[in-house]
Amino acid sequence: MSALMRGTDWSHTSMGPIENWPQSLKTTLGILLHSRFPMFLFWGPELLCFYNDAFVPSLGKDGKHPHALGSKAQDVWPEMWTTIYPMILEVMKGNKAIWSKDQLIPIYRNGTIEDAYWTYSYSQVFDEENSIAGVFVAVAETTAEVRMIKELEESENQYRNMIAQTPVGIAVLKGPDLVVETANEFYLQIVDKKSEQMIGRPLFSSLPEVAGSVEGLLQGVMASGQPYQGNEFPVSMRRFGKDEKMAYFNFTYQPLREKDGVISGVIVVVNEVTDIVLAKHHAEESQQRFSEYVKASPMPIGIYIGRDMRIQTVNDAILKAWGRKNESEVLGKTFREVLPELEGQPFFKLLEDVYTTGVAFHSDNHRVDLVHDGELRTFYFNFTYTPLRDKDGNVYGVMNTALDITDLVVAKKQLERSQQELLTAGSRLSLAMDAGRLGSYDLDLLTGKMECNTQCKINFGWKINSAFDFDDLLQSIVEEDRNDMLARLNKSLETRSDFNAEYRVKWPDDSIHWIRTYGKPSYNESGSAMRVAGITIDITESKLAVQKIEESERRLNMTLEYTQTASFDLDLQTRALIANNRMAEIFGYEPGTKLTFENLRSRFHPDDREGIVEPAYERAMTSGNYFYEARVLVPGSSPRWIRTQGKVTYNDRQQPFHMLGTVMDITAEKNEQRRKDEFMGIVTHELKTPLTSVKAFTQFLHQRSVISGDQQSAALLSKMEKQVERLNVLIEDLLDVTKVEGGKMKFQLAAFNFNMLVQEICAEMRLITTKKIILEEKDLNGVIVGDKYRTGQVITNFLSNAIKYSPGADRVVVRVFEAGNEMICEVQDFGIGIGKENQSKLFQRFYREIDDVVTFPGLGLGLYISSEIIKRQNGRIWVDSEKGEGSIFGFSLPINLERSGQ
Amino acid sequence: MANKIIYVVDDDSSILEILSIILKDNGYEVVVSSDGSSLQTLDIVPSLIILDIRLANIDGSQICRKCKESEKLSSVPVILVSANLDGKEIAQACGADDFLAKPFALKEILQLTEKYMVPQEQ
Repeated sequence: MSALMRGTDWSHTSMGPIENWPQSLKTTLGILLHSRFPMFLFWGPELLCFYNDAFVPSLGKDGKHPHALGSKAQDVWPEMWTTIYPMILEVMKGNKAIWSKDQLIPIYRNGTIEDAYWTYSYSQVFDEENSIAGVFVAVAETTAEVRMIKELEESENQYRNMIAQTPVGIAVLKGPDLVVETANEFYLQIVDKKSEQMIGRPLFSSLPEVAGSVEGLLQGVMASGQPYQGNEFPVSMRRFGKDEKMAYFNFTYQPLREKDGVISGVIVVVNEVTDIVLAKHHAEESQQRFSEYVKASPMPIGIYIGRDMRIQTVNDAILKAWGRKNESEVLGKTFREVLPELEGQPFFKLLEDVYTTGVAFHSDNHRVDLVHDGELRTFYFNFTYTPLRDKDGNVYGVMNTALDITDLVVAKKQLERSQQELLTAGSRLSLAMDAGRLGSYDLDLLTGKMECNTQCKINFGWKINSAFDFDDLLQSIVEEDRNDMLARLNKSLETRSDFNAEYRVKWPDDSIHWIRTYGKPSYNESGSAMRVAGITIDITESKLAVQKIEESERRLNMTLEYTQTASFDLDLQTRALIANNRMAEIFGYEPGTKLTFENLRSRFHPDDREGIVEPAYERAMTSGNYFYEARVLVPGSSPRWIRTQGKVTYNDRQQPFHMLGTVMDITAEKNEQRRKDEFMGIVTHELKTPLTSVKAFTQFLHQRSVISGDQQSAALLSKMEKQVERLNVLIEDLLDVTKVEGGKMKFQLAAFNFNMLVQEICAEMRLITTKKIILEEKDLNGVIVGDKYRTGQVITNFLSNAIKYSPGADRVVVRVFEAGNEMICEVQDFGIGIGKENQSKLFQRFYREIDDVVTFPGLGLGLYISSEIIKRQNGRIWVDSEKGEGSIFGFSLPINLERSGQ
Repeated sequence: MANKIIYVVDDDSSILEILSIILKDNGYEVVVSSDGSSLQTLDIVPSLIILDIRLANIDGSQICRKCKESEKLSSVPVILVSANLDGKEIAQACGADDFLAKPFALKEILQLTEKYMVPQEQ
């Protein structure tokens, strides 16, 4: 700007050249030009304009700069001349200074007239003669600040309006007296008061009736500083020109804190919810009425809420159906908690489906197993699950209505009973007898009139639209059966018992059908029979099936009888037992006794019950097979042995369902076994006793011969000793086989060093063979748990065979090593070998190669016994051989035998 | 040596015979019996009893039990002998000190005899 000023040729203006300018002007311009604040100077009578760089932005783009410099004020500021000229004049006249803040003075700049705000001061500038020669203007444009403040004011206004228009009541209460400082229109509407009745007065002076409800709360907020929220809060109010009435509010009391944190009042925000609450009360009342209706209903009804089926309402009828006594046992609990016995039955799933899909479910004659008085029993219900919907149509619960038709079904089942029993006895024939084939009738005994449903007509082969009365029914019955039926009917009426009959009917098409009927007579007050109502069922198919079953059962029974076998059917869920007479006999009960599970249980020898029968039962639940032999104690007779074999059947949910089986008295067999054992003992004794003395004599003589130097005798006696030993081995083998067969081989388990055992046996065998026995041990500390004696027997057997069957070879190799978790022993010979075709038979009893009888005498029992010994210890035994190439016999035993349980 | 008496019970006379020969040959005095009936009435107390389990009229294990219960014989070691391998368990059950399976080798019976005679002398 200084450069601009110096560059301007002032000589053509009224100012003249700069060097002639008065000092006072130069001084003033010096201040102005060096200031960073916007400044302006009007100079001389023509009010020529000077300004500094800081002022330039206020002149705008395409505005007055730079031509304003040195120009006359009136030419520069035409748009605001009327505003500023009076101020300039006033200052020039002698008013020392004029000051104005945020003054709106429009200015032409940026190509248009703009509203601009200014804060400025006008002050006098004196010349050398001390007369006022100009006006100094310090100015700041405040347009931006002013606009911002305006905007703020605007938004605050909007905010105020918003509060005023919010459909919630807001009031600010101040001081301990809760003086209403402000309250919006809605607040006033809620309390039905005019502004002047409320503002500036203590709240409860205007609303005395609400003090009881909320004064405590408000003072509480004041005292604690804790906000309080009321939800559907009831307040009794007098308003709208009516009597005091209950109103409901949702509200918040917020403490009002001053800057120093002191609580000076309470901000009340309140929303009236009276309509909603009343509507809800109304709904609850109707719910209550509904509950009462449910309670009064003779039909079982239960209402479950939510996906977890929480029981909200039940009546006595459904409690009775569930076998529960009190409402309190079930209310608030989930259906699943209350009826855990339904686990595995379809109801939980059905309820959930109804809840999910919103589609009602209905089922007739549905079996339900429920615990009544601590016992699982079977019932039959017609039941419906109806979804309950809220006003938006969303499912919120399920209503369960049910009809206990157990009696009816039981009656029906009674008719099926015999067939059912036969069925469970093992037949797979299906007796097609669904509920749809049930006819019903109601006979009026006085008039002889009969009402019946269409199924009843169908059962008698009549068209469904034809009239069918009692006479028609009687005439349909085959003559031989008719009187029997009538006799049964009369007897039922006389004895006041249920009416049951089975008879054949001849249909109009001449086909013969079997009908079973069941009825209940009813009587009037004087005791005369009035009506008989009941059902009819076509049982032709069943009859035919029954005939077949009867035949097969007759055969089965004959077989059972012939073999003196008892049979049973145990319901594994209820422990209900069906058993034949032989069962009672075996367990020492009178024939015909209705046996229970407990009857049988109590008869077992206590040791066997715990040690044998119960473990067998537990095993059967998973394996499906039931087997045991145990002793039964019948008071007054000697203990008897029984053998039970059974199979577990599973239902479609894979739960153990029934156990079917047979029981045999095996006392005689056991006695026989014992006699056999005793006999074997005698045989052992009788054979070994002479052997013992022969062996001792031989050894004694052998010793003597050696001492006396009779070498020939010594050699012969040595051979004799070997033969005696062979005889002993044969006897041992025979005894072992007997033990294996009888399951009598005993194993004495203990930890032993397997390597040492092999070493010992190799050492023993070296004494009796000329062959080299080469022992190759890879692992030296193989301790295993097993029967050392029996295992040694196997190694000895392998080695004897290897020596025996390799006449031309000079060595036998024994290998011991660990592999996986097994200890392995292999014995390799270089002898005659065994053809592949015979290898599988090697471990069978009495197996020998026929050709070898002469060459290799023996009973052929060794490998059979060996394989039994190894298998019983959970090991494996094998052979690898080629005819003519020698053989490798091997066996393995698990290193960790502790849990093998032999 | 005179007090080293071995009492041998077996119902088989040839076994009694050979055992007598062998034991006497090894310097012991031998008393034999077919049923052990003289055990309790005997004036002397033997140093060792060798007892067969299966006897004609009596169970050897019962004889063993009686010995172990009697004041006179309770400290005398008893070796049970049997052709049945189960004899091992029977021997344990009736309190016998050892068991030897028939048919035994001479070496075995002598070793076992030796074993029970040594502590008897101390």
